[in-house]
Amino acid sequence: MSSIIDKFENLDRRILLWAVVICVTLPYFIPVGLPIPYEPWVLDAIDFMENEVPDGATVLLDLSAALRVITELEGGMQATGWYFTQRGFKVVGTCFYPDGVFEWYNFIEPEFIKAGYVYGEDYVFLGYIPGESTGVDRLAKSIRDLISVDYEGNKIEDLPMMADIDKAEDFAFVMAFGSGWTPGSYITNWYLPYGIPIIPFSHMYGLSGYLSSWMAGFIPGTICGVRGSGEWANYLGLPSTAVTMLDSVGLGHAIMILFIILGNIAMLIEKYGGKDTESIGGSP
Amino acid sequence: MSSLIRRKEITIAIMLFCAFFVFADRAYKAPILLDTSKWVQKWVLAISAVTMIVTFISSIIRNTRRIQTSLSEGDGPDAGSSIVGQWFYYGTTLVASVLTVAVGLTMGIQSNPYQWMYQYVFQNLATAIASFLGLFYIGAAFRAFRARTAEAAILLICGVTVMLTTNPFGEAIWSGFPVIGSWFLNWVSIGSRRGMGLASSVGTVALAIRVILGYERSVSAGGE
Repeated sequence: MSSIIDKFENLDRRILLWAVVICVTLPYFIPVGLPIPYEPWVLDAIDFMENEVPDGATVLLDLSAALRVITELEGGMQATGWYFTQRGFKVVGTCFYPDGVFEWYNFIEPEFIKAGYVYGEDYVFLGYIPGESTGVDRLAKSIRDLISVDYEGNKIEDLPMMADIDKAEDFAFVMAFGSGWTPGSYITNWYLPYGIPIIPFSHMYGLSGYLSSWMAGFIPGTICGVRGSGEWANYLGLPSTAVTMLDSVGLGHAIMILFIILGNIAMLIEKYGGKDTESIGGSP
Repeated sequence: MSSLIRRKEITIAIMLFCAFFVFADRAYKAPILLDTSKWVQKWVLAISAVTMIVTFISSIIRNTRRIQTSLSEGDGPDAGSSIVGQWFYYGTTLVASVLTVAVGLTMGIQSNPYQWMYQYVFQNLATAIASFLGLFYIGAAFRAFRARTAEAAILLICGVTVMLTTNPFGEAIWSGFPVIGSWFLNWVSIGSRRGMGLASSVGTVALAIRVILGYERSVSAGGE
């Protein structure tokens, strides 16, 4: 018994990592179908878009997420592109992180093309703008003052859709993807001065920061990480990879929690079995 | 002329000018403040764009020097350097940087080769590195989440409960997990985060006032 506990205490990290890798991979081959409960902040974001934004409204879509977190947000981006076309939203896209250009052409624009959206009439892509927070502030004041051409090189004044769009007040809301604090810059530079609602769509690390804004009433809601992407895609009834990833992440976390619990049980047995606790814990 | 440009009073005056108009633009809606603030911000964006070129050139110079160092035989000024023999890594960085810029400039960033590099090389490497971090977190969590002391036990309970809250598995086990986890997220986590946020915001305002009044000289005068 003691040797089993010792072995567990000094468990080779590779065993733990392989266990997690197997649990994360398994749902891609054998769907588990874990329940998908909705978090209140996601429900609030969906409720806002469904009930407070009219069909055909003009929306700013910011794709300032780094590619390193794209596995978390890819499903959410595709779902967002699809949803915007279903509601007939006019979309102005931009990004304050260079990877956003890739995300636009791979995850967003294909949905627009499938829905028969016409460039310049139904959607426009402004491209990458440097300067992050400063750029977000300038975008709120005047798009034309900030840039004269879109990403395709068309003059802004030549695009029919942009005739009545220039500043923050011309947008119904902002959907801001981000792996940093760019969605937060929209709260500071678009919501606080102009009252434009912001829906941050961040990777999971950003959740606690945006929950603070949600509880303060600064944002209608937020969608974050794989879980947010999965809930959003599941709500829309889309067969997204984000839903499969929920199973994957769920099982990965479950095995990790199991190991943590077993590790603590082993430690407590050792402790109350009289062994010196200083020697417990294995190699760092 | 050179000494005149380097005078710190000029730097302080530029900082004061920029900080005043950007700060005042938020406080008062006057056209002159708005226009000047927009003009200042336009410069910030232009400088931001130029810094990317500076970064690229700096990266090329740095990696070239490191290749020279790592190819040295270990004698002379580079003796004992930890990068000796590691020229391959710096060479890879150098070639990848130059190749990406060359393909982008000559074929365009919408071209197939550029898109291929972005999608099948950069994206995969970026997500792989993020995934490696996940494996380190898992290993660290397994070693660190042990209830050896009361403080460690609190950390363990908070961590595990929030993990069970943020993935659907927790609710499938027991519907109480999301309730407890949400309490930790909404009250404990957000409360402390707001406290830190408010403190840093007050500090930022104080810094802005110091810049406007010309007291903040450390950024322009090398720590004086």
